[in-house]
Amino acid sequence: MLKPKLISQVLQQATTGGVKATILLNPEGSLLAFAAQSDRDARIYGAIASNIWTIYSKHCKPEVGPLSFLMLECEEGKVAITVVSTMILCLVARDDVELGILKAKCEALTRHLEEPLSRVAGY
Amino acid sequence: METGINNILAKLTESEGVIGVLIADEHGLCLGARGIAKASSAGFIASIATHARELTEMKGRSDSKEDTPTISVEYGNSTILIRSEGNHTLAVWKS
Repeated sequence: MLKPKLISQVLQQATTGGVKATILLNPEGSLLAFAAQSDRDARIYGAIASNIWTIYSKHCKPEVGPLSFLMLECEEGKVAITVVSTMILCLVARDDVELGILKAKCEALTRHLEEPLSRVAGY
Repeated sequence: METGINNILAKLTESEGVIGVLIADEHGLCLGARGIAKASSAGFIASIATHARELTEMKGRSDSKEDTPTISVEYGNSTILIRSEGNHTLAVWKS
């Protein structure tokens, strides 16, 4: 139904050119799959990203619609967070990575993972 | 994943007279910049292209490829050529 190893390989494809970590989380913030230099980094990035996403989601007014994309410029890097099916996708990149590239990578991954993850989300 | 864009940017930068290249997406976010082009100008570049397209559409013509405007910004001894194709805008700085 869903091959976890393949998901990691897909995430790995986006973890190039200054992207330090690509993480897929469930809505509770638990890691589903990731491509990062270390497990520790992925867990930390994942926990922070999930927290930020949840806080912003809660403060989205109904008339504006649900939160679909978040981009953050931090002191030492850039972060993009989006939703794929019911899961959260997070990309952490170096400061020199352009925001457009980060967004394009997020969209490419979303297109690729949306259909298989939506099948799993039903269970 | 970004190899294609990097190759295009590198190829354009090597062209004669080109001193800078920038590609922006439809939101004005920079996809890549080389030479004297600054990533922070991606928003302005995309905005100029959008406004130019709106001006040409005012003529009531169809939005065929031939109608996509190319904008030339001349200053000093240099020129910036801006053209929007699909969701992306390309800007080339020429000396």
